[in-house]
Amino acid sequence: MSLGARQLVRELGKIVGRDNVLHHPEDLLVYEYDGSIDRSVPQVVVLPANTEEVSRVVALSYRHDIPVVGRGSGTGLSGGAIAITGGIQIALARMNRILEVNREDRLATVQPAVINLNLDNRVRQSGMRYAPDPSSQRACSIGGNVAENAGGPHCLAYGVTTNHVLGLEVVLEDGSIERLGSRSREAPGYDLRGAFVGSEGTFGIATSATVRLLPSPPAVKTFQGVFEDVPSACSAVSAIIGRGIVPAAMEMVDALTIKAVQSVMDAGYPDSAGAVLLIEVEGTDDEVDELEAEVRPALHDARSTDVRAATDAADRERLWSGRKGALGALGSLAPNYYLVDGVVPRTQLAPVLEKVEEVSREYRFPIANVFHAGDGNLHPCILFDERREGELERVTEAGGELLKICVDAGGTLSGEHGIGLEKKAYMPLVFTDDDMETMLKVRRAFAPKGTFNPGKIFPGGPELTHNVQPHAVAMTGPGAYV
Amino acid sequence: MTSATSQPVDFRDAVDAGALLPEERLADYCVDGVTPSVVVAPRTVEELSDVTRLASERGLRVVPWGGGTKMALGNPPSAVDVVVLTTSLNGLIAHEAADLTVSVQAGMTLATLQERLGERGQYLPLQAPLPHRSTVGGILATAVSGPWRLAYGGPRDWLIGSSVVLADGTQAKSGGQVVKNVTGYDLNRLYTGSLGTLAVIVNATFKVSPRPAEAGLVAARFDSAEAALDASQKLLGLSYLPRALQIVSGGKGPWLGQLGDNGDGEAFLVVAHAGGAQAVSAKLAQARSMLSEQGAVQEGEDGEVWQAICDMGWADPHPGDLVLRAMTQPSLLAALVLGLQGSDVPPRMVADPGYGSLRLMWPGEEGALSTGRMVEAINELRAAARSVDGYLVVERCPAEVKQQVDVWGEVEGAGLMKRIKERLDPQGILNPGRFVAGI
Repeated sequence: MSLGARQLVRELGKIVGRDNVLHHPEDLLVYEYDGSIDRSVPQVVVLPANTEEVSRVVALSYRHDIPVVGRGSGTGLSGGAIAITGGIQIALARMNRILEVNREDRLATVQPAVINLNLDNRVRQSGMRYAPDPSSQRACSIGGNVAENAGGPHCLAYGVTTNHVLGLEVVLEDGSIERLGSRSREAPGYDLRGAFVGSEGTFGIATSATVRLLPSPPAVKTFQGVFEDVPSACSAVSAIIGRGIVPAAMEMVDALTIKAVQSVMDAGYPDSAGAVLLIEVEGTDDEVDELEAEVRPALHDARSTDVRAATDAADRERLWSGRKGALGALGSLAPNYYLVDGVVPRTQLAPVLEKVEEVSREYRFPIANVFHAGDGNLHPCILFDERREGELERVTEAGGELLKICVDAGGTLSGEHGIGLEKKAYMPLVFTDDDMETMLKVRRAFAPKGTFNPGKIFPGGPELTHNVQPHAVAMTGPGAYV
Repeated sequence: MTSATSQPVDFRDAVDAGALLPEERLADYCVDGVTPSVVVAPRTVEELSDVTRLASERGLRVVPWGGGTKMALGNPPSAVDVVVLTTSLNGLIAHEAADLTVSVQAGMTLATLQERLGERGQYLPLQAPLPHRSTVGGILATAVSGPWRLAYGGPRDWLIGSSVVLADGTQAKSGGQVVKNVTGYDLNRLYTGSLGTLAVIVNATFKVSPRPAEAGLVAARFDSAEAALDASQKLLGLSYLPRALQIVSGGKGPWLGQLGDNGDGEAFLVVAHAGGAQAVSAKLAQARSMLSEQGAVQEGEDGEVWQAICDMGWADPHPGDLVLRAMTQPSLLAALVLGLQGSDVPPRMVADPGYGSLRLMWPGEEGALSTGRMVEAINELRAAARSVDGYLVVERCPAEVKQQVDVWGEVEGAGLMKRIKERLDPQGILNPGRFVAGI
């Protein structure tokens, strides 16, 4: 049963208040994009204040067969928050409170729009930390992290979002409210919570998350090793693992990225550097000392030309600044970039990077590489100029080539950004029809009608129909992240 | 009691005659007293898929069986026609040591896997009862864990990819070979702990870890569980978590192994650390110093005592055993533990105060509780667990008790769980009746 546009706005206004319903074109523009290169406008945006309102909005959409797309901070990089078939965008932004921080049980409960870094900062005050730290953590929301099973540099040692979510309150497509998981570490029955994390907003909308916290480590030490080329830096990564240690983080940037970074800030990278590796170790003082005793020789053996260690917090900031500022710095090289999220077994990083170079030559685009070296998650950034005719199409093709390279090397389509809209066409590279049909069966159990986030993850289904001229986002400046 | 088959089925269409067990062996594969009509041991995934397909085409109910160590877990099956043994699917597929990943067939035992990983100085930071018999598939299906769960989590936290055979014989996979992966839904998490009711796990890929350079243990004896709990809170409040921390009490005799006997009401606190030699030494020294404030400290070799703790309730089973597991938030566990003190029939107890779980055993051979008393105890403890937002699962109990209680208790999200079951196994072929909510 369809609903006229004005009546829809009216009905939604009765639920969340008229001021929290956006439907004028100029108000909707902000919701047209997320962090990816796709754009599409929802028919209407609502900003609910609480679970009850979310539930009622969703129930209304269910009665009238209107698609629903959740939005946290809109920082996602795979088009997850893009409402490709219009419909209702439920923007969770007003639900941004930290509801509880429990030191004894080492857990916190948050509303979905709580910013990742804000949660970590808050719990540090109680001697704890929230481990998943995506690079967008100053902006991204916990709800979005749950939808995409977000990672981050420190997930090397501590795991990704799904390793830290204990329980969720979710609204399902008919408006019903369910509790998945529990406040305890275990509960009998199927792990519904585990299935929900990383489901990219297609199973339901999370309206509350209870997450696990870890003790904040007393000591942190950060090292930077400069290398002549990427393969040497990769061999350092292997050497470190080979010594039987798993650092808290291992990040790498390549020559082109270094060049970009040095042109906008002084991160202390030598101009001639082929690769820079950043390694962080954490723990008690004894642990950090012992880890250092392994990291230094590993860097040395891999022929690092310059090894530095941070001696205080300011130093640590400086060492990280190059890595964190990498994406923002790319603006000095080209007006646009397309950020690819690929993941391969870590031992394949060096050979895959060579193939990335080949693609760069073949398609005539410079590609700057930033990667979570410890877990094989690479981010080639294809540099281009969207004003030049045909560039966007060729860039998208090149991106597809890179994904195929990752899959051929034993990897998969996404390490942390999700499939979303961006990669759904490539799913058959990794999964058979039976594999995907099994996943869809689980989705239908959660959402039989399928009104949540249609057209995402799996090939087919609705495609981008609104505003079909996608523009690449040129995100320069300090806020950009990978 | 044998269950009736709908019509005779010749499984030699699916497997070699050699993979079918002879009639006289069938009684070895009872599930809660129900004997299957057929027991088959497929040697390849294709065979397992064919067997399952054939069974489902005829409406036969299938029970997957690994090492058989935990077949007592679950409510009595509504029917058992075919037992499918996974133990012939026990090969190592690949150990990529430099990537810290391993892929194995689900019929490999945990002990064998650890041995293989150990050859390259690595291990899977998981423990299970009876590791020389428990299979990887069974460990995943039951989501069982040991004291290391405090530091490392459970099987779900280490599984990164799996291949399964569904109820209709379809083969499907999810996840992959990489430690970070958001490609498709995370069905690995759903299969883990599903007790073989959604699919038969045939392959699994895990993240693994380098073996720590050093590992050590400190144990202390306390006058009461309460005193041990207090001491544990201090250790758990430090800026680092132990590898494992358990409070162990009750029972007489050698089950506590090297820790020795404990007197009435006494409890041991056992804490482990692992890592570099210096760090471990410092952490153990701190533990020793904190524990000696209230308790009597003794040294211990790390290793055996943890296995004894895991094995409690599963090794040397007696049909009269009552074994329970409670889960709640750590801060609420003390209430459950203290509620048990002063009981006229104290159980063996293993508590994990940092994680929030508790296991209890009244050994059948001591014959201390009647059926009626067991049912009462279960209901009381379950109510106590529910009152602190927790759960109580009956892991093992006498057959008469199983007729009177649901071993899982009520769970949240039962409706959604049933919907998932209906989608993946619409005919109810796999392990019918054994899981939560009557699944």
